[in-house]
Amino acid sequence: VAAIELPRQAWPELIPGLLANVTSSMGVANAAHLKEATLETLGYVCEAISSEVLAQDQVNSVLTAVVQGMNSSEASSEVRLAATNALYNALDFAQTNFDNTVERDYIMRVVCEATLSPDSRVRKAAFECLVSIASTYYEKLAPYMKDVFAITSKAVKEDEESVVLQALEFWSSICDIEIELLDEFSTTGDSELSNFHFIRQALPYLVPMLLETLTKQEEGQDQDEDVWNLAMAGGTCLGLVAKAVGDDIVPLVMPYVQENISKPDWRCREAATYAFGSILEGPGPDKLAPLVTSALPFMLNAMKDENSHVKDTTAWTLSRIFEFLHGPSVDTSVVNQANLPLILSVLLESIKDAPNVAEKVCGAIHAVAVGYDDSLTSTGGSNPLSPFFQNIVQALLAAADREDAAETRLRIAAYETLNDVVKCSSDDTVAVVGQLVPVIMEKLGQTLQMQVLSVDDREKQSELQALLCGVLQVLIQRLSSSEPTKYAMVQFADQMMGLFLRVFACRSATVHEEAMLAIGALADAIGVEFGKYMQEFYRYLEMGLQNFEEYQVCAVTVGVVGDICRALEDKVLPFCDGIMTQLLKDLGSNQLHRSVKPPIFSCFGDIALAIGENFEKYLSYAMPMLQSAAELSVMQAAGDDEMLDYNNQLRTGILEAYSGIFQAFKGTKPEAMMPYVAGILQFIESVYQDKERDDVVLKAAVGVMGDMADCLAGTSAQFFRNSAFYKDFLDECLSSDDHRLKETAEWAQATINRYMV
Amino acid sequence: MAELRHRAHKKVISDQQRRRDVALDRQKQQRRDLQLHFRQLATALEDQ
Repeated sequence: VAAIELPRQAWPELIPGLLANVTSSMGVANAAHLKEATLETLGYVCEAISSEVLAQDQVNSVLTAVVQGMNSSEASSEVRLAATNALYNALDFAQTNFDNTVERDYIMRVVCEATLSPDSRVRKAAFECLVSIASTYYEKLAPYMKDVFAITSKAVKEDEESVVLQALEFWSSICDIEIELLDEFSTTGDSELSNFHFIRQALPYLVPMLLETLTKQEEGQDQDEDVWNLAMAGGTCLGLVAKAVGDDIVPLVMPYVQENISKPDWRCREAATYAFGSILEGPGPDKLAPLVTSALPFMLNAMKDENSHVKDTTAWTLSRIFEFLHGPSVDTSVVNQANLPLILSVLLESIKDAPNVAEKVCGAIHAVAVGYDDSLTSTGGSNPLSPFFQNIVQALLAAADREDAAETRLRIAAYETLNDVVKCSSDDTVAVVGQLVPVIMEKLGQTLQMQVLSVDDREKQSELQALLCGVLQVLIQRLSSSEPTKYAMVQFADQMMGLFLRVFACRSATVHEEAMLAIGALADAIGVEFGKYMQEFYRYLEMGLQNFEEYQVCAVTVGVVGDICRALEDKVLPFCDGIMTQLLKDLGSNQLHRSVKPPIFSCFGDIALAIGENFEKYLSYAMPMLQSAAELSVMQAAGDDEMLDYNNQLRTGILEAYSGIFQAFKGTKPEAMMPYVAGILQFIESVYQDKERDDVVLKAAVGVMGDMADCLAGTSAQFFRNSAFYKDFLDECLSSDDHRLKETAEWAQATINRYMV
Repeated sequence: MAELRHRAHKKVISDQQRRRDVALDRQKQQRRDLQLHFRQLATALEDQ
């Protein structure tokens, strides 16, 4: 009730009433219970309302009551716990209080003291507050970091697991912020907050504390996806620390690795391997390459370790070695012609291991393949992986077919890896890729015969169908990338389409999406030939466009409409009434996720471009939609980064629609666009004036000006003469460093000038 | 009270989201290529 009424100022007596319960409950029967219930209520209220709803004096009173309840002098553990939980929810309200040193010191002291409470629930809740404070008030933390390190260190040494997990999360959160600041600084040369480098300062103490957690594994932890324990939290934090400090972590971790990696206790071997794997992202390749090169034979050998956890972590470490120290961006790759045969023979043997190990091996194969991405490194239509290609494909198919693969993530990993291996394949192995089409089709056909007796059966069937449609999508794209190989795929088009249509009948959002993506790729590959499937496919296309709830399906379907328009050109016309009706409904819907709306506008452009002057009958529906979206986007110019990004996408969609529509009427019915020209130019001017627009929007806007002149020819001159901004806009684009923007501006300028005489 | 989020642990393979993004990028690129093609065609016809 408070969540509804407080923002409307409709329940002013609530907060004072609750506070009275806390401050004047002395002498009341069940005082502790009343206090506890009131603090819980305050917590819920703070959780449910946004921070602007309460006036500062109310915030002050709430915080005073909550912090008092957390104090060590509070006798009741239940009250202290309720107060600490309430503070967690009230932290967002405390901006002003955190700006005030005295108040901040007091809050921090009480929170730190609460981490020492005799009740572990209070200690855990206090660390949760510290985690939240770390992300919300990072820049205020400097004076407290020493104390926080002392209490987290004490917790790691002696506290219960649930408390230690939170203590470690504090450091992971600090890492998150400092990594983000480093990224921001490296891309823009500036960052919103100052980087206090807390992690670097704490490094000599923090790293030993984290290493200590690594031997606290649980037996069987790798078999259960939901497990989260000390070793995992410590190792994950160590990985974040490596990203935050780079090279400096290496000398602090390597002695631990060397000391433990050969010990008889599997926990030590696994911990050492995990530590090594964790620090591979962050330090520079120059620092890591010599270490990794000498460690690689040992790691490959460790894939034969007697312990499954050690093998799991070793395979994961190998995948990270290949991800960060192999590939075209690394000067000296740790994978070379000499060691590649050994690496692959170990991986192809280990993929037969337990499902959790095999899943990580798939990751390692994936990283090796991506490092040899054909488009970047191949010469003469071959790449170093080619001699092993067939064996890799067979091993991945065998892994996906395993009985135990379906129960774990192995099957997903095997098919996803197969996709990347196919994407990275070079021309000399494309014949093997072609042979995969009937194999995967047969598997997809088999899923349609599966006996489905339960929800679980249905889920398994859907998962497998989605994966196989995903593989077919990748195969279609890879094979259609060149004319000779396209034939290998086109001959299966009818069969593939037949399967996709049958798959649609099994209702599952993920399967629809994957099948839709594959169909988009097929339409793109076979062009106008796709027309023969439209009659049957149309109902599923419409169904996809109607899927508001699973908006990703809707988004993907909108994209496929674009593919079909480009493939069929004017042959798509018989289906356009239905498609346009549905797209207009989508735009008018409040239920549909907003991210789908910009692509719908772009899709108008695709349709117009495909059917030319026939688009005229949709103009009176589409143009008002475009105009009101344009007005909305101008009004919403200010906002946070997410809003800004969305606004740029919306503007790009609108402008792409205008481009397609102008191009559609060129030479046939330019007069159809006359009523809209002034409004479109006004929108482009607003885009030009808005300094937050990105280059993609700019390119689309300058393109529309050229398309307008191209469509309207001599008639366009009067509009450009009346618009003062267009020359400045063109000049700005012409002096851009973005080659494509400059090129589009040159074309637009030439086209406009042609009709200005 | 928010439960502790589990961070990604030893995750090695990307999933459907990446394939979706790749497909959407392909579509965007093809739309732009086609518009560029129309513009080049327009210029070529004018020049003749």
